[in-house]
Amino acid sequence: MSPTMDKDRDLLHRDRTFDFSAQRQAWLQFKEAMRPDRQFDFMIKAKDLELDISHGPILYLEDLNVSFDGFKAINDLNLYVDAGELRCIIGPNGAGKTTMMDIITGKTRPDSGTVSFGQKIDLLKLTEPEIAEIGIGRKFQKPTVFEHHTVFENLELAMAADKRVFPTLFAKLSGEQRTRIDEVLGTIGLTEHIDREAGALSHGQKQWLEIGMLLMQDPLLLLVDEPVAGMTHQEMDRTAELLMSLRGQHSVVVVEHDMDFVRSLNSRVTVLHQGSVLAEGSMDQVQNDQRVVEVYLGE
Amino acid sequence: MLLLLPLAGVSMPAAAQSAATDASEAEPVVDVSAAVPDTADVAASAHKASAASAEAGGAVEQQDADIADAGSPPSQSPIKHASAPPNQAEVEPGPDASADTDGMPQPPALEQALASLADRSFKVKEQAAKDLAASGDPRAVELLKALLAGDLYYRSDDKRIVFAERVDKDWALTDALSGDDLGTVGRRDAKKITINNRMRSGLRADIAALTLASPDPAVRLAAAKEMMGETDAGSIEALEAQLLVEQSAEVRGAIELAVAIAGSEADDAEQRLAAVAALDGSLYSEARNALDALIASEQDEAVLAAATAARAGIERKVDNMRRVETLFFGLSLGSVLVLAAIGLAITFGVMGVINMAHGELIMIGAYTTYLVQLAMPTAIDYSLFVAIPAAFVVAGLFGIAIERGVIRFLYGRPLETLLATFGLSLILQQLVRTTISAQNVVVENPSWMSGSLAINPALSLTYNRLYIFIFALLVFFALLMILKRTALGLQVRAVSQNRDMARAMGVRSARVDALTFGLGAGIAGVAGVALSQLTNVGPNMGQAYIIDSFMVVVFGGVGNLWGTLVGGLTLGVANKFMEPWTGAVLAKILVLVFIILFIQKRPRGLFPQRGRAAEG
Amino acid sequence: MGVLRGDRGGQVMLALLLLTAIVVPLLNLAVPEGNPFHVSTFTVTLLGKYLTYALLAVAVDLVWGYLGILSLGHGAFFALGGYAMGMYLMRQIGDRGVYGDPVLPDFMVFLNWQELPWFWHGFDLFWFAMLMVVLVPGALAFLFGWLAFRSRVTGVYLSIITQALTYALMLAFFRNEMGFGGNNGLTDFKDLLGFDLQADSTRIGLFLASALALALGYLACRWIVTSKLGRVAVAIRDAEPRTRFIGYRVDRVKVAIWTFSAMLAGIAGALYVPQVGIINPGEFSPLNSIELVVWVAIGGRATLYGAVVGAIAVNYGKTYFTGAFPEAWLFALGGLFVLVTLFLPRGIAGLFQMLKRRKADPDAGDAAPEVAA
Repeated sequence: MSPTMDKDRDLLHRDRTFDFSAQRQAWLQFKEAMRPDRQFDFMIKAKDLELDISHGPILYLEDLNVSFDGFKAINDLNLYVDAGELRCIIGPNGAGKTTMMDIITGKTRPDSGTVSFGQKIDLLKLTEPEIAEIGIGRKFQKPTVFEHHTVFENLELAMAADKRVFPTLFAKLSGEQRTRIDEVLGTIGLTEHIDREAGALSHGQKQWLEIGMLLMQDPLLLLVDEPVAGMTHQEMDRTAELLMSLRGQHSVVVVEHDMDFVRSLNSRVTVLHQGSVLAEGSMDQVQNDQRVVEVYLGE
Repeated sequence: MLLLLPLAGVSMPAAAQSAATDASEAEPVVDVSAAVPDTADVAASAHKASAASAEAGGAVEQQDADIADAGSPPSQSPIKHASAPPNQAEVEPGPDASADTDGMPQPPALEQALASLADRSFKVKEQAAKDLAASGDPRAVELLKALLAGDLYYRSDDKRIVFAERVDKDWALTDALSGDDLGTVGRRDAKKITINNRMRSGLRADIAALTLASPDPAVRLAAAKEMMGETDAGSIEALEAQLLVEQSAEVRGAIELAVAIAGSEADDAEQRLAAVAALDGSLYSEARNALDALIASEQDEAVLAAATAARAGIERKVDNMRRVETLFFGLSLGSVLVLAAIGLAITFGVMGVINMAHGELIMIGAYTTYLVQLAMPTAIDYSLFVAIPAAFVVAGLFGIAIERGVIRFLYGRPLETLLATFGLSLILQQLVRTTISAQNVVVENPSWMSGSLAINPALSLTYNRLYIFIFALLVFFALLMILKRTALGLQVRAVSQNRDMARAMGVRSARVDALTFGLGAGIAGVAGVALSQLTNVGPNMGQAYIIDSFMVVVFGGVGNLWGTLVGGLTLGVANKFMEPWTGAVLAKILVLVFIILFIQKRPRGLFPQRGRAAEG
Repeated sequence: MGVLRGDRGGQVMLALLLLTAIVVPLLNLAVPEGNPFHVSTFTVTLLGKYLTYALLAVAVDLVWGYLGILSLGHGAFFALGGYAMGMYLMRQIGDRGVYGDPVLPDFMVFLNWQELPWFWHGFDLFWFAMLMVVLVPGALAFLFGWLAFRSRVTGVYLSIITQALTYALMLAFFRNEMGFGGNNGLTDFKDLLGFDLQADSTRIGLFLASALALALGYLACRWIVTSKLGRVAVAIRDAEPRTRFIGYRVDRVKVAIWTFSAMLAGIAGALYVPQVGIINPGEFSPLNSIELVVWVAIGGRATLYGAVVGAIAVNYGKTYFTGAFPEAWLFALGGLFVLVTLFLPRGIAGLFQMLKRRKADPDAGDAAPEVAA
């Protein structure tokens, strides 16, 4: 963040007493779009950006704030995720979990704060596709697969490849890519449904397909929003297994409500409450934290 | 009124026709003082008035018509038809007017004086004119004016004084006093009453004195205005005499100006300088003309400098007035846009339903006004008070039928809703074409909506626009109250925010949907009543408004009534301020282009709704 | 051909098109007039007009059916292509106009213009005019799409501003000052590349050119929708944010396909104008653009061949109705809008597919997944 921009934000902060937030947002968007270095942003390849994880964390969220119509969805949030780590995020409804994911993936712009991927890449400067391209994949809370595409096509679309317009128009599937798709199909257990339209799958199968799409993207960081909603216990166990197997080569952030599932992942847990971190530690530590108990049971 | 229509002109388009209607409607009011219905005059002044309104108010009409009918060829513009040659107008005596005078005993003084006008001797005629002026009869002024203008004739056989109008080679005669139709006579059977210069100046002075002495300040003002630049020594005297006793400031101003204009033509430079000082700051166009004439011919440098300065000062003032006028036109156009869009703000903004038949609901409202007026031809003045609730109900019922019959099956599929309602709009248009007429129909203005409010000589606001502006605000606030304060409003807002939750709370969402849509449609109908007073009413009128209405709603911010108000007024004013530079059509195009660009930069409009739900 | 694999409708449609292209000229030229099998030149031209409409409908289906963009302004691209062709035809008139001016078209002489406006230069060259037929609609579409898709204007908003776009263009072209003939537009064309436009052979040539353009346009669109880009387009239609999150530049995909579609519409317009002999601002009317959407809806969205079927069926109906019951046409068209959206969301093509499935598997017919809005 350049000092001039900080100053601008400061100046604009005062306006918020009169709630010009919408106007300000639009102005910032406008400025963003008009920035001279962004006019030719198609010339910078997001892939060329260098990921620097020498200090450990792959994801830095610092001093984040977002509000919607005065409601503070994210309030001075600070969160770090280490490279190769599997992290679970829990918290009651409205704690800001999904909003946090939206910010990381570029869907929502924060009012203030910084988000960076590794030490050097400022995620707030990138668009959603660019963020996907540099290696952040996301699974949504509600399973969103392409309903009118077959399972195979869903995976093909997600596959890491040159995703610009003309290369896509002329794209031909190589043998290697075909193998990769088959491999993932096996992992998610949908081999026999390869030619079915995704819309015809069961809820659990859609969840798996979406995880499969995430794998096809081969991202460095996976954001997984409620992966086991609507799954049977067996399916849950397999999901846990899969997520744990990713640990090490990938960093994974899992948002989940199901405590048994979180426990089975056996990872570090962060509790969000009212838009900021309430507690962090192992599942046992967190469960014994007085404040967490109050938030979940007391109110 | 309908009886008079064919007299005023043949096959005029609605705008021109209503202008002519206004004029002939207004005429009896003016003529009451004369009580002698000069039919030729009625017809002529009807034309004058319609032509004038085509130029003054009509310019506005036309600009709007441009906007409304830009698609149709410009041959429909009212001006063209309004300037139809006067001889097309068949002249017959006005039935109302002759009824007034029939059976009323004529005052002998007036009759005698009038009869003497047929004498050959100028001396006798001069005396007759003086007697006429002295008769104290209210009709004397009109007769004197006609005499001065050379419109007064006498019939050769019985020396009856008549008005005559050329019909082919013959004269069509009407009695000067009673207005009775006396049929046509040969070319040689009616003679003009000739006057000489001496009589002319005497007549002017008499007319001036008579009218200036009227107890009605409006008549005095009109007289003073008429005399500006048309004065001679006699009338100046009359003016100056009146100035001593005149009470009304407005009339005083006009009289002083008339005197000053006369003074500007004086031989004495001092006098001219004084006249310039008197003319300075006046907004009458006559004052500007007098100054222009003075500047063109002035030799004396001091006078020239003063006149030039005065002229420039007036110009600035007039420019300011023009700006105010443009602002008024802009707000007027804006209020039309708001009226048209506000129903859409409910159906589109609150319910999220794309109703392409919205324009046709406006059209239905306008046609309801037409039908109401057909049902009560004798009470046009009150027709709008019946038409407004009627249009609300009729359009509202159409709306409910559309919602129940089509839209409710398409909730959550906006693009399909758009197509289906567009189909409905075609059906409604054709329905009107087949059942009523494919042509535009004439919706009349009540008398209280015609005319204008004169703020000063350079600025007058037409009543119809003024009332419609106020009406738009009333509708807006009424709607705001309905949404904010009533149970229906509460339910509407609840359903629009969270349908499932509202249902769980016991709100019958289907009923609320139907009523909300009906409300939006009803307001479109009410807008139609207002629009019927400004523009042509025809099967296509709705189409002209649908794009504009969407633009206003989207520009203002969907789901925000205030946005619609501010958006509509802003666009109206912007449009009118651009027009002088760009012309009406280009201004409209520029506004459209602006909105297209605006939406791309701010897809949620001026006043966006915020929140996580709104973050797409 | 690869792109037609699995596209039974397209195969049948192209076969019929080929058949028509062979049979109709034969029946016109070889069979003498008066014979019941003779096809009049009027009919040939009418068919040619339908074919250009069909190409336009294919262009609309490409963006609506496969990309989810409901354009209510495609008539504008069609008209722009038509104007580009019209300008060429105007220049071809040369000194044979009413006023006999060797350079200026009649309407400019009438308006007392002294010289050709700059944007009329070059249109005397056929290749230049043909380039403009695709470039002008393409450039407008690119600019519009670039602005709109980048700022993520979607759905109904986009539809409404496309409508505003064509409305604004209509108002603009009505102005004499624009230099496109105002109200009357461009007309009184004489010849095209030296061929007399009134001659039967030219009419047949134009008919064949329209058929060829439709076939090529169809194959090109088919090629796009069967490519990976086509699958990305459908993904955008169904779940735009998701497509963005797996790394596709949604705005660029949209701009590319949108621009291509506009160019196709421009070509259709260019073929339309010499056949009907006039182009005027009425072609920009929002009603035209929305009407052509209903062709696609009736034919069946996201099938491409359905657009062809719909365009020809509706226009045949229009020709018939406006001749037989002129009053009823708008009722019929309006009714079609309502009935199709309510009862036949997948159009005629959907009906075919359903019948086929019924035949193959009597139980599975109803379970066919619906195409999303």
